[in-house]
Amino acid sequence: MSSAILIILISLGLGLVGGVVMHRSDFCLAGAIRDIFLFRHSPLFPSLVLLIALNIVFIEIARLAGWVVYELPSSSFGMPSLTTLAGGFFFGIGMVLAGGCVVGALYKFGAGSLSAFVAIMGMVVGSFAYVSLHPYWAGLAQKTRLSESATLPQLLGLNQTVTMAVVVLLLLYMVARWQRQGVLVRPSFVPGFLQPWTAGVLLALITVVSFITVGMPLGITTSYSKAGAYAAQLVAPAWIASQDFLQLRGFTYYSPLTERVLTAGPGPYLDGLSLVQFPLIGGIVLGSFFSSVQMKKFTIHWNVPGIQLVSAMLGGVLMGMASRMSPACNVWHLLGGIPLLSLQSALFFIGLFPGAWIGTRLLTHYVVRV
Amino acid sequence: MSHATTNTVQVDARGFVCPSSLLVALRELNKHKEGLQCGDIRLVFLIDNHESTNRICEAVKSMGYTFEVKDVRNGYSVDVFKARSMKDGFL
Repeated sequence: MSSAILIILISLGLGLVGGVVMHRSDFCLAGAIRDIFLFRHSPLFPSLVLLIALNIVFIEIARLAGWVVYELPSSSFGMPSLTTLAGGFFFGIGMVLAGGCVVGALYKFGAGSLSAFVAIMGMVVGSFAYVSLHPYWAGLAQKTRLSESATLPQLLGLNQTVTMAVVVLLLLYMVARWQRQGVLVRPSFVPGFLQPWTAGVLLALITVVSFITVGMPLGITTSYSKAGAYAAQLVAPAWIASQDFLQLRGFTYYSPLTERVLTAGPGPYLDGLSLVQFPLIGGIVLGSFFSSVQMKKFTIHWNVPGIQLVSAMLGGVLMGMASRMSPACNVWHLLGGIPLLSLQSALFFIGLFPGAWIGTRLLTHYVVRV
Repeated sequence: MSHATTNTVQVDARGFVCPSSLLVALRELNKHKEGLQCGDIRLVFLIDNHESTNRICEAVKSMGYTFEVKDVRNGYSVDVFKARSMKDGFL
């Protein structure tokens, strides 16, 4: 079997398992942050913190064992700049309006959600809309760079493993407190519900398997750019060819299975990212679809209020644009960059909170009046 | 106090953008608070995702109402009412 087919099968498999896990647990990364502002209490947030803590542990063990090789800054996680903070902010607004983040929309779509499909279409449009903005935004990212360090240990001049151990202990202390308060384990009234903390453990395992086998964390949104570029190429091929951003193949990563450095970019061509992301996207949708059919819960409801579909579309467009500004989505940063203590990912994470707050204000004022 | 009839108000929130189904359910619970309290009204929510179903049940439990979750085809129904006697309760 060629290594390319093996990469496709592994990504598809990780997507399938991830889709089932997220559907069963309703593990919504957007909801975990949104509910802090919307309900003053987020039942999913403790499981998200557990997931991040385990991600740090698993990936660092894999690195120390020599199974994962990386050095930051890299194409995956670059230098911290204010543009990433702004990207996180806009992403935060978008994920609340869309009712889910880039993977949340995928698993919800797999279970038949019309609004999630609209949000995905919005993300494709938003990713593509960024193309014209790119020359200006890339310049701004250079001008607003905050540090010449890419990670927290680099910034503090500390040993990476020691810094990670301290961060993990702090995070696990928080999780242990939540566990004692009885908020880590969720009450369940529906059969087949997977506890979010269990989902957190499984998603951390999926992420480290992705790092070890594919060479990078879970990512989705560059493929949305590609999808938009493919569609636009049908009507305006000359314009596509004239856009520098779509011709870039500046993303490089070491692929352990091919034993080569692969290159990739956001344009309309198959490359090292398409090999991983398209099967992953398909896997998540299919995994959720199979799970919902097995639970006899797959259905498409058409009676969605128009204002909610508008909200999903706007949220999707915002997330698509913000993912390119950041220059990656929340899954990439939260499950991939935060565990490496990337400062760029930390800025994105910080930006999500004020964004989610603004998003909840917009949601409760214009979409669902409470 | 006994009531000869109970009006059933059905709220179909299937297909709603998250977390609209939960927000709508909380709004309706608040709107029909008096009717629920005196047993005049029974609220039935139709929901299509696990998390909202769990959160609605959690909320109505903390409000002191009785509820019953039914696994209906393509979703869940959450039946909320005020138990008039012990035998009415499902908890």
